Amino acid sequence: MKPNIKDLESRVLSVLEDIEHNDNPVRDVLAELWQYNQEQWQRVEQMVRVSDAYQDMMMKREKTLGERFDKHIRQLEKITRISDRYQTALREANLELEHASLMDTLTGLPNRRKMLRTLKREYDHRRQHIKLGMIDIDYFKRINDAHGHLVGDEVLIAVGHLIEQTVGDLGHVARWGGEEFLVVFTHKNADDVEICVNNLVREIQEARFDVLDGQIIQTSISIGLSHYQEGDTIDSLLTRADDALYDAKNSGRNRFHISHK
Amino acid sequence: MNDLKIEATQSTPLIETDAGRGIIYMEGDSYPENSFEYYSDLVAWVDQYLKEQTRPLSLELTLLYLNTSSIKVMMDIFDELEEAHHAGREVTVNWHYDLDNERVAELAEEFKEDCSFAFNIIGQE
Repeated sequence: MKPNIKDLESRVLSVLEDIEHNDNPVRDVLAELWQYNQEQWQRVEQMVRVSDAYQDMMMKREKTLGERFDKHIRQLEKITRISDRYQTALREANLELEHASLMDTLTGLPNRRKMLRTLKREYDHRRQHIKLGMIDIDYFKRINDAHGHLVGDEVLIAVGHLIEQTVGDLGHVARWGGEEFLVVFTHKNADDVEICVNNLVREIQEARFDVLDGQIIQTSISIGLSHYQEGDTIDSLLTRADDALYDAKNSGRNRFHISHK
Repeated sequence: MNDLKIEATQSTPLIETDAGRGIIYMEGDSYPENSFEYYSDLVAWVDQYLKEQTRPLSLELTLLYLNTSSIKVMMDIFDELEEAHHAGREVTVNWHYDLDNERVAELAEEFKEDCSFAFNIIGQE
């Protein structure tokens, strides 16, 4: 049976307070034991208080750390998200710029820079198949002078488009500059390429370009063709195509000339 | 308190503070080598202003590209503004962007998400 501690305490206190027991030899021992007991109780209570305070402090600390941790996680996720978006935007902007830097804005054809890359790639991988067609629109200045630059631009676009269509899978076309276009033929068969070059001259000559205000423009092109020969560099291939173009111009235009040097 | 006036470079934005009017201006790209060091003066300025002054604070931002550590610095500043706002302070962020560059607005929206103070994203011609 559980002792009734309150009852026991009050009995001890009443014995100690009763002067009748003052001479009893057990009284002093009981008083000492009572005092000791009281001190022990106080110590236990103090320990409980300190221990509770520690627990309270640790719980608060854990809560603060947890909140800080959650905040950092949230921040980190957000930083990552924003940073990713910046990177995506930069990457897209880069691609747009790269595309813009390699395209001729007027004709939509690859530009000279892009063509030089293509040329280098083809030269590195299969130079023995390379044939270069340097194309120039005949008397283009006259079109500009007679009809204005807007019409000239329309003609450039139309001629570029027709060249691209005619060349098809036989090679790559680029606007080389001004009224010049360059074709890198990578097709192995030289006869097919010559047929294509011949077709180019004929197609352009036969074309009726319907430009601004319903005006019909007719024009022609001259082409200089060079084939890869042992020891050729990209520059020497270009120079020979240029020379052949010059020959085609000098022998009456509206034709192609093959470099045989 | 001393105001800041830091000129823009290719990789760092213009930073100007005006304690008298309670305004911070930032304009440009931000990808310094060490963003935390670079922005330490600004962070200290915001800290001091919010502590010592009682006037409102407004950030006028025209920021384009921010690298990751600059994003962290801006978020820390916005967190501080958020705290001040909860304590009853009037704080505002006006994030200006070029209407041709909608991406900047989308990014500003991300920053705005956790802010309960006035955060305006303003497109300009």
